Amino acid sequence: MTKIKFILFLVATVSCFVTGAQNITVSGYISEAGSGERLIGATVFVPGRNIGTTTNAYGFYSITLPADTFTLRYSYIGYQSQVKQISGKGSQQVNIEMKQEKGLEEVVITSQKDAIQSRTQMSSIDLPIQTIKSLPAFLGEVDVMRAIQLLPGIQAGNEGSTGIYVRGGGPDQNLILLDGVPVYNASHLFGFFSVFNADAIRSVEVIKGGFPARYGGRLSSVVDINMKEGNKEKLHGEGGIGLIASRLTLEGPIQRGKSSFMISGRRTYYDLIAKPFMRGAVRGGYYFYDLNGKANFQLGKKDHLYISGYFGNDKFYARQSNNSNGLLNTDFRTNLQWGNATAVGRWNHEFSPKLFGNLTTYYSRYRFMVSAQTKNQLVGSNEEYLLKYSSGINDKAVKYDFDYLPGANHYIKAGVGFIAHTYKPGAQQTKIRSILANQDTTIGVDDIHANEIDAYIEDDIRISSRFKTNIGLHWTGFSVRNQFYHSIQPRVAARYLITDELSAKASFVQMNQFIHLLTNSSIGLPTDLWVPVTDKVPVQKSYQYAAGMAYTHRTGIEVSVEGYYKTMDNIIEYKEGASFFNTATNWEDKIEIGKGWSYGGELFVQKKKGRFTGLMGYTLSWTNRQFDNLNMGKVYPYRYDRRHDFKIAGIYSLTDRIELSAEWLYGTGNAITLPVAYHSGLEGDEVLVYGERNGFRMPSYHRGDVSIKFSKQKKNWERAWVVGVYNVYNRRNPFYVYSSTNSSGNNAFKQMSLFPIIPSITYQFKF
Amino acid sequence: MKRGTIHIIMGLLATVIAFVACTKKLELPDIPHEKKITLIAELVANDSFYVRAGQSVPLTRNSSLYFDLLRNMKLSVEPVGLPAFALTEYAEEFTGQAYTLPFASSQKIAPNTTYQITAAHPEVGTATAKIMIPGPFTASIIDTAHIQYSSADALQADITINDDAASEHYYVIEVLKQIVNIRNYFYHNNQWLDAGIYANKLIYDSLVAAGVQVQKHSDTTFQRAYTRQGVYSNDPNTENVKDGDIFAMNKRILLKDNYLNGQNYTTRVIIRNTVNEFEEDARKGVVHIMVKSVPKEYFEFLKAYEQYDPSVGFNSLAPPVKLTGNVENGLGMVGAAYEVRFSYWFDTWGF
Repeated sequence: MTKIKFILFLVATVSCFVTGAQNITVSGYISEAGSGERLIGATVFVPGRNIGTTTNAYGFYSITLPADTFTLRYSYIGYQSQVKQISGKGSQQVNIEMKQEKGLEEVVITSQKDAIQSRTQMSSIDLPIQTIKSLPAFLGEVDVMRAIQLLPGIQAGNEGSTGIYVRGGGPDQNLILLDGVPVYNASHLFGFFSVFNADAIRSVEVIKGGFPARYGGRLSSVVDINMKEGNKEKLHGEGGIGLIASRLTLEGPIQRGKSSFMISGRRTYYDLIAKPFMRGAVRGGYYFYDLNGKANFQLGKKDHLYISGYFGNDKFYARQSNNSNGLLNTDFRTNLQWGNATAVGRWNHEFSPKLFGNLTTYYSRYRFMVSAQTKNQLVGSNEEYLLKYSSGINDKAVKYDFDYLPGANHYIKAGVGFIAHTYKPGAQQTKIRSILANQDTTIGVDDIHANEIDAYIEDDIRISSRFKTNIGLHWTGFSVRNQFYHSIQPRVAARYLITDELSAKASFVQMNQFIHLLTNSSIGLPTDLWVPVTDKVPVQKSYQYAAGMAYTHRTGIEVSVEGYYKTMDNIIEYKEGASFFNTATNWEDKIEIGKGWSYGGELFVQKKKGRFTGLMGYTLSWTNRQFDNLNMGKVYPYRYDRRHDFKIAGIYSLTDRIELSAEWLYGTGNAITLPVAYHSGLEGDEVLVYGERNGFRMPSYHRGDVSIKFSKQKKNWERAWVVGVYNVYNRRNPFYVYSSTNSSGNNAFKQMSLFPIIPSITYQFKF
Repeated sequence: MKRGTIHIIMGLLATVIAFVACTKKLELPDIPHEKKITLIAELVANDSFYVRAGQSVPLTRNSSLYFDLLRNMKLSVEPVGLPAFALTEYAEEFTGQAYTLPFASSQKIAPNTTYQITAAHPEVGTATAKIMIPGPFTASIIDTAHIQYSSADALQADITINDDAASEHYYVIEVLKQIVNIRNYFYHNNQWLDAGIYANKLIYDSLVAAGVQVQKHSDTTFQRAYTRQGVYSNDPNTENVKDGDIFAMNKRILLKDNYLNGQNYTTRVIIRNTVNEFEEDARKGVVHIMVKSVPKEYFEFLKAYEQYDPSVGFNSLAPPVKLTGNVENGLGMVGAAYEVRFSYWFDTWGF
């Protein structure tokens, strides 16, 4: 009944502003001058009235005010602000092209209305792609996910990993979107690199709490990454040659001013380097690659079509061939490969200056495969033995989203979507062809098909010049194995402007997640399995409460302080000793279901403009788990319960040609379970007696990285050398701990560290 | 720069990075764990008492993985409602892994009876374990066969357990092989000659080559040692398959009552016949297939023990397997079983 009343209240709120007063609606698109790229989140503000709006994901904005003469101020971080005088009535289309700011001098912010304190959204951070590209890079590879790990409330997990753990959540609880398409495994090389090639990326937004109703499906975070659209005016390219990989991006007009393309590729070449050294019977290697592509077409004044895709793969391979005097040829091959593929088409249509619609249809696939094959060629006969294991997930989806801006006091977003999921929890194929046997057997759990329907509505309501709120509902229906699950998830956020520079914010959200990730390692392997909810494994549910303050200093320094409390129900862990590598039995029998909760405070300081830019984040947090059948039902700290987490990064432009950057990270050591004693076992063996689950801490993690970039402008192009040092003071951070004995024969624990001081050099070019 | 030089530089760099990833010794944390009495036993109905007792080794700073045998320990057994009696410590012949000392009594263990074992030591303290011996049940085996499984000689058997619907049961199937020393003799010149002696073997071979019908026999001596035979199951109702892998070799096959539900339940097991794969023909013997009814707490312990691999050691990336026993103020497990045993001679011998 309460939910019905809430919905009625929303409907009443929505309908009350459809008035026939004399209004003027100004709408249009904001794009970058010179390239035509649409700008996401650019601010349109009416000085003196405390009224404003922002562009949506396609650069569209609309603002409706009583007919009058007023000024609109357009601003976007890193771009020169513009001011337009508006007068008259009816509708007006004003498209804006914004020029990038030149020069390195400090910029004093004169208006605070586009800063963080004015947004209703909290627990959200936009990371400028230029900042990401300027930060020190591991082995010279700029990494979006590694930059995200610098934000407060977001932890990296193990050393070197690009996985993220947000506000005590698990690795499966992050919705990572690339052009609106979920990417299920966003890592290469066992997590050391992410799949996002920074040259192909236009914007990155991370949301840790206070989720707007348009997002759903994960408990802990949304990482919304958008690819570049492509330069509509001229052909442009950039690339880099690094120690482990090279990359090249090309973008340009298909039809000048109307349509464009972007294509970007990256590949490692360790295998190519190693190839000349492998002259024996055994050959092997590893590589990964990414391919991003996008095209967009202006189909008229009111329609725009975007097509984009991503394809990436990791592959380990080994091959051994033997020839015994021409009588027996043996060929052994083994492969381990995994990768993502996404494809998306989006069609924007502007129904009216106040109503904007977007149709999206997408496909997303993740697959993992390991195989071993032996072929024996004997005189007169051939034998073949094949063992192959594969797993994965794929989604096919269609959705429609609306943006409706009836007046200056409301910004309504609504949408509906359908996703057909196919889960492949693991199948093992055994193939034998020989004189004695002819077998081709596949054992495993059948594909699981699930259908998901989502619908949402949210309204960003301006209640007064100082008070704004965002109220929304997200509904999900999920059908799997003849069972239907559904949930209504309320989302509420509010902002009160205490002064022009300072605001107080609060939010409450419920999030539900209808899929689980089975992982029995702590490092995020490609073998981790995505599985749907079932009658035995219920829907994950989270409630998150957050409150905080946001402040922007006149120099442009943004400061936010937030506290949060988050509960997570129906989260899963593998039973002790259970293994993923089992194809014949049901995974549901291998897991335990429990709950978790996390609370803490975060401080974030960011400076986006000027000669010196950077960010600093500190998190003080507690994260616990409780499972009936783990740790004897007692509460225990989560593996990534990290009491203190501090990160600081700075970029300093020494001159037009030299840029310095540095970062330093500190985190409390990961919680681990340690053995406390041995005793004799049933069969005379030595049995380890474990202490409390996650009752001990690994040594703390800290690391400093530096880099320097030397740029030079040539006649028609620009080149740069980037020299970096990862882990500059050679800190041996723990990757894992194991038991051993020392030289005296006494018991000892030892830690394995992965990355010592690592210098790198990268050559970059742009034209 | 020549391409070959670049290859060498890049290769070296990759090698350097790979090799500098290193280990570092950590100080052991100050773990608050005192030595505790450890009790290990499986009390089998209608058999005599045999309990092993020792002490744990705390994993503290500068400690060694060395099990001091705990002397001066007193063990007693108290059947519920009956007077207690002592278990006697005795010297052991085979002390290769003497982490614990054996205590025994010739008294018979009665089914459907609860026993409390008490171990007391003046310095380490007192530990107790209470366990109920399950009642009788019946089982049978049919369709035993030699097969090849996983490229090795194996035995296949269909085991039927006759479950009693009146109470909850937990069943365990395990297989031990009692190794037999075999000596082969042949009759020649009015005496039995040992064919294991090289000179005699030459005589034997020459007789056979000459077409002489040689009388022969084999003498078998059973060792007192048993070796555990790996067992495979693809029965989805077994806990092994639920928690593990049909291709994995198990120490024990574990079945819960709720799948049997008071009926006759047949499950197929495949038993690895050789002691280990490197000794295909070296050691032969009699195979004992034991079907046991065990209490729930012992079943759960065995289930965890099935997943525990003592050879792996500790590594913080792997989820730990905790073995939770039933010894209060101590460690270990005093289990109990009602056992139905089947013995088979699968191996053939002779010369």
